[in-house]
Amino acid sequence: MNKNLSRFDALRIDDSASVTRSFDRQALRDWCQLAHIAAEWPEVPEPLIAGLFSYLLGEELPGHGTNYLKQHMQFHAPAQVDEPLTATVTVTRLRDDKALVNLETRCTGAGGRLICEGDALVLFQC
Amino acid sequence: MTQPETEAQPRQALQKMQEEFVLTQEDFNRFARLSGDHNPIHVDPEYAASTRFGATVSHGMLLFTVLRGMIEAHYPGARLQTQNLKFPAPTFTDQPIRVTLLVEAEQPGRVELVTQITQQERLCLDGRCCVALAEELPR
Repeated sequence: MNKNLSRFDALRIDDSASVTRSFDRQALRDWCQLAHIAAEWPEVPEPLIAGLFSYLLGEELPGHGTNYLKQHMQFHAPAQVDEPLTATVTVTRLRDDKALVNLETRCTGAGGRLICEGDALVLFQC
Repeated sequence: MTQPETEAQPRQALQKMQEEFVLTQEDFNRFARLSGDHNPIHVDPEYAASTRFGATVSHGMLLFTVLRGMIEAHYPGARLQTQNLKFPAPTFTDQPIRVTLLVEAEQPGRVELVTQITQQERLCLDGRCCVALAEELPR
């Protein structure tokens, strides 16, 4: 086994990481500036929900060294301002010949309401 | 900024929307604060200079943010139903990015778009989305 893949080799199917965070009106205003949107945005925009997944992938599972290749998302319900959102990523497939990791990505809101589900593919070579 | 319409198909006149933006290091920093993703490859120019990229690269979801803003500009109040994203190449600060939305299919209340971002002819974001138009949405 390639010793450079030791961090990859420590990954297991069903490994999972979660984060809970909410976005306030100021966060939405800051986001609108980056998106070149002049108006107030009524709900948590999809890229901030996606950002919860990218935070988890880049910082927690697999972590630093992750190269984000693909993300698919299906949005089921809008997320509200100040609503606690819990994002979870779970390893579903490991391809050690290419250091590729597939993960399920899921975000729920208040009362476990499904906000977004999908999957991600990352390269984890370090 | 005219582009040859190489993808024109007889079944319908494809609508293509394009706009250029420039992302700065401060934009990367602001997205890091918003998302909590302070990975040094995005926010630490000195560290990033020592990596294979040679400079800081954009968060993928900051690119998605710019793309989402452009969808809002053309389809106000619309909601994304699905979004696929691929990130085939890194995106750097201070070089213009070109965002393209291409209408692939239209149905009542719904549109499917090809979504792309290029920087200096490199495809940096390659995606596709389904958008529910505002008049069809319960508010």
